[in-house]
Amino acid sequence: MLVLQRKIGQSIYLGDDIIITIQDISSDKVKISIDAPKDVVIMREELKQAAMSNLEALSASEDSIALLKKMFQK
Amino acid sequence: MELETKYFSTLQYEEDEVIFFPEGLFGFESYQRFILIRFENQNTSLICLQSVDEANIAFVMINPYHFLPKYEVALPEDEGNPEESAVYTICVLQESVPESTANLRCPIVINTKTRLAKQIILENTEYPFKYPFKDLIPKEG
Repeated sequence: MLVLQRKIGQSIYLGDDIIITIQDISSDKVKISIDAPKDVVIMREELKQAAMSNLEALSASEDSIALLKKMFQK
Repeated sequence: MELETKYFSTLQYEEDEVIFFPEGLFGFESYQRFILIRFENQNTSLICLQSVDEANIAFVMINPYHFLPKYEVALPEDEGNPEESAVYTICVLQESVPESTANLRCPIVINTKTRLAKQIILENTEYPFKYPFKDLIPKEG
């Protein structure tokens, strides 16, 4: 794990093709630009988590649904 | 039209039942057409979001307000009238109900008039991706 400090306007290279640049810094946010080839997927962490959650949701078994139904029955 | 489903074998559906997600769902961006199927006929709190294009793409959703009347969803500004919106949360089911979870962070918002829908990510980090059912079930008394 590499930890760096950068000032506004400074950049970081990932490999030869990906350039991360600090655009702006405020008290609670940093604006970052990412210059990368089209085949590199860039994703906010919460989008990744959201996608993983959806994927996990696909494995619902009929048995677990039957149990869940009981909870809704009055 | 006929549809092969994940939990309901083969069903008939009408084109005007189809809900359209222009952006698909997170991680499933190419799946845009879904229908809603109730698991229990008299109950709209437990619903299956079934892809029209792929039988295996089906999500179990609950109406979060059934358990959390104060669940707040900040709708994106261009999403039209909040009163026309139906909100559901996708569930990850485990072996036991208390261990199953609801994704309160990424609800599904459906405009009941236009039948357009999207999955959104809420800014409110107090709503987790995995809210356990054991915390949803009201305590007795």
